[in-house]
Amino acid sequence: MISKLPVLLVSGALALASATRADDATFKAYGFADAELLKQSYNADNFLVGYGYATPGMQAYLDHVNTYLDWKPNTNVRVLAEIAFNPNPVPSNGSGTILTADSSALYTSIYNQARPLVVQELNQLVPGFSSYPPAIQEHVIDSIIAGQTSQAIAGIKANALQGNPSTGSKDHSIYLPRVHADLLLNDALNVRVGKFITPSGIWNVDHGSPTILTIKQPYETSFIPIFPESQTGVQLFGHMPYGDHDFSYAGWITTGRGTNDADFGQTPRNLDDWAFGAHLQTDLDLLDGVRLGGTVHTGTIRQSYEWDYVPVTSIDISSQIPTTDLAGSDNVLADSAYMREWSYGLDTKWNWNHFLVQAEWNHRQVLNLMRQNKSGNPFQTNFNAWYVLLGRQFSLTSSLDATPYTMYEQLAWDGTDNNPGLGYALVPISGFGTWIAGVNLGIYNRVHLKLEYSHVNLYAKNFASGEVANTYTDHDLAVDSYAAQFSVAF
Amino acid sequence: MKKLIAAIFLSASLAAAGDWAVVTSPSSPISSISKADLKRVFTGKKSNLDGVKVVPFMLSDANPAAVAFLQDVMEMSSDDYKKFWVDAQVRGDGTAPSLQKTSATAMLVSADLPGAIAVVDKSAVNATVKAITVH
Repeated sequence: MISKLPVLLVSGALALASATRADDATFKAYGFADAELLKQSYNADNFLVGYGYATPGMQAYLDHVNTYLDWKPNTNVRVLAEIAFNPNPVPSNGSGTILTADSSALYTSIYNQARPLVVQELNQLVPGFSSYPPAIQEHVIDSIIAGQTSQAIAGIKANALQGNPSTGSKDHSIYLPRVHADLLLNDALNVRVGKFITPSGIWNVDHGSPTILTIKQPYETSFIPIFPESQTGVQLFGHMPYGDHDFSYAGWITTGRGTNDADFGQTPRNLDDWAFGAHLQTDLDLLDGVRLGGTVHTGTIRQSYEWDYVPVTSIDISSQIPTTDLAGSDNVLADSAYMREWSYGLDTKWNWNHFLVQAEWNHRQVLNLMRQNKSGNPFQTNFNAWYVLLGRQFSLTSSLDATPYTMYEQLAWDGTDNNPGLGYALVPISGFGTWIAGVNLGIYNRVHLKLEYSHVNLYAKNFASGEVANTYTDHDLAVDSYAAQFSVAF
Repeated sequence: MKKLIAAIFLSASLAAAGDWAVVTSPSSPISSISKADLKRVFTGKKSNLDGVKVVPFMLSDANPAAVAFLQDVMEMSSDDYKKFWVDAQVRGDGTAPSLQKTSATAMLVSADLPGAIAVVDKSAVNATVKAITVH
C-alpha cells in the first residue's frame, strides 16, 4: 500500500495539473486615466465659491487613475477589484480626541471632588482660615476651584480643536469603488458578494471617462446621486436571450448607504435596515441597438451618535487634571437621523446609423422616520432628475473619429427642511439645470480628447432672514465652464 | 491576357481571404450555433453552450477573416469591436476574448479544449479541430 502511494500522488498531481490547465486561470490588470483643464466663469459673489464648488482661475489636474485587477482562478469564479485615485485629499483626524461635554455637569463634578481638598489646603496654608466669615470662605474656595476648572476645561477644548480634520499635509488618496467575488454558475444566474457598483441606469455603471461621451457626468449620478454609487452586500445577476433580443437582471441585498452617501459604516440593526433593489433591462435587436431599463432601490439611512455620562471621581490639584472612573460609565446609542429612501429610475439608449440618444429619469423620495405630520405620515424630501443626451459619431480616418454632442440635465428637490440629516436644509437653491455641448475625439479607440462648454443655472431659494439670508437670483448663481479632458484606457 | 488572368486570380484570392470559420475541439459536444448566440459568445453575454463553458478565441484583425467575421456576425468594424470591450472593461463586464495572431495558433489552443470557440480563416481549417456550423 505504501509503495503505491507515490504513484497515487503522481497520478493525482497529473489529474490536478490537467484540470488546472483546462480551466486556465487568468489575471488581467487594466483601467483608465484622465486629466482635465477647467476654467469657470461666474459672478464674484456666487456662494458656490464659499462652498468650494467654483474656483477662480484656470485649473489643471489629474482627475482619475482607476486600475482594475481582474482574476479568474477558473471559469466559475471571478474576483474584480477597482482601485481609484481620488484627486481630493481625505480629511483625517489629527492628534487629540474630539470631546464634547456638558460644562455645568463637568463643573459640578469637579467642584464636588475638589472642594474638600481645597478646604484642607487652605486650613493648612492660611492660619485662622476656618475663623473667617463663612461667605468669605466660600468666595475664596469658589475662586480657587473656578480657576482650576476653567483651566482644566480649556485644556479639553484645546484637545478638541486638534481633532478637527486637517487636509494640509495630505496629498490625494485612493478608494475602492468595488471589490467583489463572482460565482459564475450559468448565464441566467450568478452570485456576486462584496462591494459593487449599483447597476442602476446607464451612467452610474459606465462611470469611466473612455466610456462616457461627456466630461461632466450628470449630477444625478455623481454630485447628488439618486441611487447609491456603490453598496456592500450580495447581488444576483444574469441574462437570458429571447429570440435576437436579450433580457438581463440584477437584484441586491446590501447595507445601503449613509447620510453623506458613504457606502461604508452602515450596520443594520434589524431586518428593516437592510437595503434591497433590482434592475431590469432589455436589449432589443432594433435599429443598431435599443436598450430599455428600470431600477428600484430602498433602504434606511441612519445617523447615530454615542454619548456617555462620565463622572469625575477625583482631581489632581497640582496638575489640575480631573480623572474619571470609566467603570461607572454607561454608553447610550441614539439616532440623530433615521430615514427611509425609495429610489426609482428609467433609462434608455438608442443607437442608429451612428446617432446616439440616451436618457435617464430618476426619482428619490426620502421619508423622515423620526418626524410625522398631523396625518401621521412621515415628512418627506423629494429629488427629481432627468437628462437627455444626443450625439453623432463621424469617422474622419480609420484611427480618428469625432462625436459632437449636447446634453441637458435638470435636478431639483423639495422638502429638504423635512430631513436635516441629508444636509441640504440650508443650501440656498432648490436645484439646477445644466446645458452641455462639446465634441469627443476618439483616437485609436483608447485615447479620447474632449472639449466641452457647460452652463449651470441654479434655481435660487431666497431666505428672507436669519443667518443664511440672501437675495440671490438665478442669474447670480449661473456658472459657465470651459473644459478639456484627455483620457486613456489601458 | 496576362492582366485578365491576374485580375481573376486576385479577385479569387480576395474572396477566399475573407472567408471565416468557427472551430472547436473534436471532443466538444458543440456542433452548431446560431449567429445570434455566436454574437453573444463574443460579447461576453453567453458563456454556456450545450452544457459546456465556452472559451472564445478571436483572430487578430490583421487577418481578413477576422474583419469579415466582425462584419458578418458582430455587425461591427474592428475599431467598434475594440471600443466595445474597452467600455465593457470599464463597466466591469469582463475582458475581451483571447486574441490569436494566426489561425494556426487558434486551432492549436482549441484542439484540446472542448469549450473552445475559435474564429479562424476557413482555408486553414484542418483535421485537428472540428468546424462548427453557423446558422
